[in-house]
Amino acid sequence: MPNVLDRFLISVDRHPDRPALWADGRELSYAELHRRAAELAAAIGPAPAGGGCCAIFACRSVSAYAGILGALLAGWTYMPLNPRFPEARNRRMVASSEASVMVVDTRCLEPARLVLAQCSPGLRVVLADLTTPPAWASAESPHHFVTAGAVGSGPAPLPRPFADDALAYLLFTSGSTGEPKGVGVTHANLAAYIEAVTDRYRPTPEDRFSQMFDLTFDLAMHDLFVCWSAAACLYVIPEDQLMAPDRFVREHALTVWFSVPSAAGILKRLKRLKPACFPSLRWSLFCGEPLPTGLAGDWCAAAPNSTVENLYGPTEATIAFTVFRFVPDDPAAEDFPVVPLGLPLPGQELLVVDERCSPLADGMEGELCLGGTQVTPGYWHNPELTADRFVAIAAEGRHCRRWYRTGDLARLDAKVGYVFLGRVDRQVKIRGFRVELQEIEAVLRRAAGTELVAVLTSPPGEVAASSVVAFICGGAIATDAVLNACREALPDYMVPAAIHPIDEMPRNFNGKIDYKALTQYFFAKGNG
Amino acid sequence: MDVAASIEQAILDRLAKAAGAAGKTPNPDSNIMHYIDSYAFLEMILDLTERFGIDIDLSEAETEEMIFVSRLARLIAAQVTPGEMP
Repeated sequence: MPNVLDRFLISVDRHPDRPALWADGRELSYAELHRRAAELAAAIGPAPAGGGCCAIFACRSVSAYAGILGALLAGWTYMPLNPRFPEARNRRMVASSEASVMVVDTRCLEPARLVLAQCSPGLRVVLADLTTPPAWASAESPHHFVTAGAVGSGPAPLPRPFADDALAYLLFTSGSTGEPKGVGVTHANLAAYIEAVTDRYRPTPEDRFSQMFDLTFDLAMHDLFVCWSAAACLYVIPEDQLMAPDRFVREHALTVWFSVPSAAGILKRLKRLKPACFPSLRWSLFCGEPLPTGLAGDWCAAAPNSTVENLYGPTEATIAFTVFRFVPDDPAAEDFPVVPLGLPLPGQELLVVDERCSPLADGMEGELCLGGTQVTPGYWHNPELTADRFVAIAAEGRHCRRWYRTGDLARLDAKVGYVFLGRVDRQVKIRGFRVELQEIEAVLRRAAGTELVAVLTSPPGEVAASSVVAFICGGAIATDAVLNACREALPDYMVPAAIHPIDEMPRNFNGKIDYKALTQYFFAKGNG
Repeated sequence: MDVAASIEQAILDRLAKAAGAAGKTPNPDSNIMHYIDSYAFLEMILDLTERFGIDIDLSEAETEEMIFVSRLARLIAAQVTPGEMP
């Protein structure tokens, strides 16, 4: 099965003059994007024999996308950073990934400077958009700086033959211990996903894909590699227009939309999701959080020439794992408040198990497990957590023996496939981002100097919410200082919208925090 | 303080809160999206709707009208009918 780099290079070979990327207000052909990627590959340098990690500190620029391709061309695993993340979080990701190379674009120069100042010495830093390094990247710096142009373009490096189990990318997600956890996705995992979805959606060189997701969100990998597999063009929606991208979609006649449902919800709340406002779209794909049935119906009216599908899947099982095609007024699906998860992509399997990981009969409610070629090897440098979540289960009627326990509650419905019912733990989605509430609580404990902290989604009890609120018990709490500490440690979507000092933390009979009672307290105070 | 100035100050307060300890100080020419993301933008609009009692309509607004503090404040203020604001 061809890997994503093979697929890109085939598109370069067959369609060198077709547009591959629209970013920074300009369009690059496949030949131009390949040339830029090859320049960066030369500046990055070849990966060591056992592989290595190349951090991409670039955002929505040509260099961001060429940097990913350049890292792959040079044989590296890439690990995206995010300028919207606090410096401490990006620094921890660099340290944990053991990245030895970093590609930086102009937008990320300042956040990169802050991160590099605290990193272990010896990083090779490729300044992708500069011809001369800035003053802070002087000879006294503990890192080695290279400007992309200084290396010269030269002949394009030949793609390295990747082993199937080599990691294509490494992403970090929220971790319940208070530290982000890494998930490595192999070339075989990614190839299996791309094969399945290109077969399903049949993209062509005429297609124009939206690119809205941050590169630290694995759904971005769908945008890049499904698009480039088809020799289509990837349209990077400018950051300024992400809150209302409707005009951009119309101006560029995009044909493929892929976003979290919250993005559609914002358009609706701003009254910009109007009937037939997206006539050019032929596919409308949603993933990352539950898709409300009413919103899916509104989208169908807004994009009358497109097919709407709801995808579902965690990073640990490579981008998306199941799919459900939404049809307005479908009697089988209209009674569900959120669009069903549907059925697995070809070659993948689902299983519902009880608390002891014993398989349950079809139709029973339990924890959803995923098995197949998209299931990743496990957590980066974390064998204990890997052993806990990636388990061996022998189930009658299933080929897979190794399963990923998602923590999602689901059941199989005879008419619509699998249906999402909630979580077995405290993982939530905030604006589509996956968040372990315990990670926020760990930061609050450090900042407030007390163990008695608790975090709820806002509104409470929602698995998919827009923000979180915090409760801190005891004495005079310097809420501004605590909030600032959160902003220094957490991405903006994880920073509590409000901190409520409380006199006493409600507890259940086991002495643990009683989140249900806390929710009632929240509503009793006139919130929500 | 006139309506546009009140709305502008409310937007600046919201951005300053988001900037927190980062050291950035928003001003009337600031690009809102350099301080908050699209979700926080929507929340801010909903807050302004509630606080000023205005039915804010951005359905036809140009991007440039929405992303700069003073232009957004003027756009919203223009939607206030006399005597409507509390």
